[in-house]
Amino acid sequence: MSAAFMLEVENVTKVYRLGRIKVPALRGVTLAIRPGEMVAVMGPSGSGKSTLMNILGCLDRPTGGAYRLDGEEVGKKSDRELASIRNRKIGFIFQSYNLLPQLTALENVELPLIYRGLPARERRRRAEEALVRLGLKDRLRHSPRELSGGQQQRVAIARALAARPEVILADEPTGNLDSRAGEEILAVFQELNAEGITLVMVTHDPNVARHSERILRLADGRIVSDERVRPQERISARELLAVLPAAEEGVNEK
Amino acid sequence: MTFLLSMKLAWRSIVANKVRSFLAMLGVIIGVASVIALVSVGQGARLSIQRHLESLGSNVIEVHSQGWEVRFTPELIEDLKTRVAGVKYAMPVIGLGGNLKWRNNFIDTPAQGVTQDFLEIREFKLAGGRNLSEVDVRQRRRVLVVGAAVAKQLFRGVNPVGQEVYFNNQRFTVVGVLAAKMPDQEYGIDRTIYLPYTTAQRLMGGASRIDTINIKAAGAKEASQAALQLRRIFFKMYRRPDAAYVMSRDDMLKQVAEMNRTMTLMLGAIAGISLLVGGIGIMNIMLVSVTERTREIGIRKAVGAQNSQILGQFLIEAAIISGAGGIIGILVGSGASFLIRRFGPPTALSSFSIFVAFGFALLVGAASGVWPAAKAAALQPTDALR
Ligand SMILES: Nc1ncnc2c1ncn2[C@@H]1O[C@H](COP(=O)(O)OP(=O)(O)O)[C@@H](O)[C@H]1O
Ligand SMILES: [Mg+2]
Repeated sequence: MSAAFMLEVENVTKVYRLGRIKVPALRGVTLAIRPGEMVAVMGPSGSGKSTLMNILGCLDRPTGGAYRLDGEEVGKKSDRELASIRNRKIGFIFQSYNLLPQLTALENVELPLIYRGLPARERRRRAEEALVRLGLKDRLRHSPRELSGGQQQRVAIARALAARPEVILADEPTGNLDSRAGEEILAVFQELNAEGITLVMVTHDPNVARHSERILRLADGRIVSDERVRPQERISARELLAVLPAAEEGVNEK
Repeated sequence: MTFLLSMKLAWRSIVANKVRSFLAMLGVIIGVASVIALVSVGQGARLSIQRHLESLGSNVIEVHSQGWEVRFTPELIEDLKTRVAGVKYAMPVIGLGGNLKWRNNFIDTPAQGVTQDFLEIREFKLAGGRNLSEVDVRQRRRVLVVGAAVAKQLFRGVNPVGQEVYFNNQRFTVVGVLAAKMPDQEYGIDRTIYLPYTTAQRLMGGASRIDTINIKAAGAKEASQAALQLRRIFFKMYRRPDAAYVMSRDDMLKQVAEMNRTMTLMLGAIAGISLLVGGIGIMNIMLVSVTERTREIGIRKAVGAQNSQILGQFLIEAAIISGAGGIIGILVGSGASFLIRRFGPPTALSSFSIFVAFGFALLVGAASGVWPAAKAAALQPTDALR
């Protein structure tokens, strides 16, 4: 809590092994993100954005370098401890939503709380609260298949939110959504960030990136720029939504 | 609480893949059902033999002739009583059967030509009337002592003692009724009629050979010694070891027990093999399931599932498949056993075989789930999500 940086990465490298071939995906990345920051990560395809996010989200381990999350060194932790960190501290949002199709929206949101061992009633209460907050009050018992892409991504955010994480990491969260659905997601992100959650998202859309307060650029596994968005250039999703034409709810957008 | 939820999740994934899950269960179903049905047939056979032997009376030795030239005469039988130590009774037995008619009722019944000693040898008690007598035997009287089931089925409540009946169209008088030994059985030892063996010989004309002797010894020890001595005597008489088949009831019971053990072992082997095959089926399905659900595993891990929780889910799934297969197998096996009894040999369900088959099915299911489950649990989240 008292750490100066929420996410602190020092000279991190990642080399994938494909048989005998070594694919260097990160070639020494150093960055630090303060608690409560909202950061966008940009860069061409294959530059290592997803690799970096996976390491930040404790879904993968770096090949070299050090990573401290909230002041704690992650590299030395066991599988068990990493699972617990993913469960409590991090909410990960994927481009492809990654909901379990055989569960309802509500059960999907309950999933991290199940693994945390919360009692059923508390689980249910928190999951409902998160879904209501994301405007899915009428979709609690729907299967992901019955939801539009935007709605599915909101279920995924509710799942992250219900666990009350300190950090939300989103890898191209609006990549599969039309502009209005994407904008709604960004509005939620800005609200969550305003409440103090640290937020890092990958995008290759400059307009999406301008919703954050800081933009990192990756190229070929290295950070090539790190700049602040000037406050007057920052986009407020709420303001933008007010002027966008309304979309019909429940229609499957692609 | 996590356990209940794992159950629920496992159940849902089973239901979502109904056909596949059923096919996985099929091996277990067939394994458990065949074990239960087969054991029930074996058990039924064993029980009916055992009951028959027990109803023969204790310390009884049966001697059967094995060959046309081996003839037992009344004189020989009388002689055995004095020559063989420890023998209390010895009597000839002539087995026959036929139609017994009283008024307009008739039944088919086995009959035995014996002497008055049969009551003591077979340990029967009279329920009414009198036993066969020496005079009946000497004078070849047409008198009958009937078993309890015969009394019940033929005379329908009327006291049989003193009734005139026709046995194979010959007139007889019923002089005695036996008390039931096995009241719950329609057929068997209580559904037999007894007549003087001399009368039986006359009824059968030329075929009136005495081919069986029943001997009762004073005790168990005397019975086994008497059996040895009898074998020696018949060996001397006929110069071959198999002229007479001498067997004490205890020997027979031992043999039945031995037979039963062999059968149980064989059935156990069948059970083991079929359940093993069932287990391989489950393992196959679980491996497919792990491969197919790699993404699901990745998602679960991404939101914080521990390896042990993933392991648990897959193990429970395997256990549910085998458990459900086991329960269906029990139902199918019991049903098959019932049908066999209906149309074939007697069967007896054994709770032991049900427990063993079910327990083994669960064990095999869990064991075959371990490897796929461990595989699933060991996946790296990023590898699983790719
Ligand atoms: N699991 C993997 N195995 C081998 N190479 C990989 C793997 N994941 C990513 N890569 C390679 O690493 C590089 C960076 O990939 P990635 O982080 O996915 O880039 P981005 O998200 O910026 O498009 C690419 O060259 C990609 O092909
Ligand atoms: Mg990527």
